[in-house]
Amino acid sequence: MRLTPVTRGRRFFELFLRQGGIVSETLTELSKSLLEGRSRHARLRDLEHECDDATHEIHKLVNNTFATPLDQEDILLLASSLDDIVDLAEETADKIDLYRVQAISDPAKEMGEYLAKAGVEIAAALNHLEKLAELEPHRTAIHSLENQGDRMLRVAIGDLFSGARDASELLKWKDIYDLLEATMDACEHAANVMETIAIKNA
Amino acid sequence: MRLSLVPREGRFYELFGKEAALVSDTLRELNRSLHDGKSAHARLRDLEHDCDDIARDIYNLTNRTFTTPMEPEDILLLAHSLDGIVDLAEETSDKIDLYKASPIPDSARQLGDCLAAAGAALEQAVKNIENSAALPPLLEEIHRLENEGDHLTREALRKLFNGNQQSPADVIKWKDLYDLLEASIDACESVAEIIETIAVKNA
Repeated sequence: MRLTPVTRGRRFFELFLRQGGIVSETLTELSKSLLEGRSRHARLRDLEHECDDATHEIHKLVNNTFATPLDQEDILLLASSLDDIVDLAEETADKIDLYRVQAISDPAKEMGEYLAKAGVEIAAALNHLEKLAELEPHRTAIHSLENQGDRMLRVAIGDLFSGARDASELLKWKDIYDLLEATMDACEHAANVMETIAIKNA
Repeated sequence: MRLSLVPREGRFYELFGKEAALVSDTLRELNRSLHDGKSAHARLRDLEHDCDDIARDIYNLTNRTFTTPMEPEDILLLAHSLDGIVDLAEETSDKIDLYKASPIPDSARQLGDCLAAAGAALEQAVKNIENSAALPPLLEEIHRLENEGDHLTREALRKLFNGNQQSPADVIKWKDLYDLLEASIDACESVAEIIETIAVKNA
């Protein structure tokens, strides 16, 4: 096999696209499990492992490549920010099972749908890492999903405290809402990392 | 319009000065609302939007400018981190309202004082980023305030969990609010560290 900087460069983008596909699928699976009220944790755990593998391959490739197409630290940062999204989504699904949450609340279902949309945008944005103008609409879409999600979840958390519930219900839902919010924040963070990379390489 | 490098450089410092002033205003407003027990959320939301706009202006300017006064990634990191402080303060104030968290305990007010002082020091630090004499004491002051904030938060949590009069809901609410206040001060400290790194690089 002939190794040229060009093929190695393309390999990085291929791996990022693979990570993007995993992020999108993970968030879609999470959303479906929230809508259906059925656990898909086994599938999410598999996806998390696949994403770990892709992240690990990116690390290896950075170590083995002399001239990387982007700065090394940017490659590693982007890989780990994408991985964080999948980790948080998996943790959310796991906790829903562990806490034996019976009925999924409407705000959680809605947040799942926002997350699925954000996943699609992230996968699309990774196609345009090198072109800021084409990246921008995806970044803006993720930012606006994050804003909408924030607003909705904050109200949901406020409502938790006004309804009469027992302490363990309060704690469970507070934790699940926080995790859903953290998953969305991780999407926004990955989008910001992509934007910084695009600006640097413009 | 004449295009030279110097006015663009000046424009970066001007935008950072504005962003830092917004951080300081935001933390002062949050502190005032903690002392008065009145919601400041509408005002903080406006400040948060203003700060988003400035951070976006800085991004766009970085993207349009060939020679920036600092490295582009440092500019973006500083803009983004200042914005992070305002986001946390706005979230704190929103949650105080949503949780109907009143009365405000003394510990939360003292944390508010710390935050307001850190905001004022941070504004001065950003405005003196190139002044190697004025900068160190300002950064030191922010670290000191963060330590004080840590201490206050831990004391507040100790009281929160020792008092048996609190309902579980109140404990969860205030645990969250103290965490947010602490995260806001931590965010001030991490901006101080970013400023220090930039100052060292550009010395």
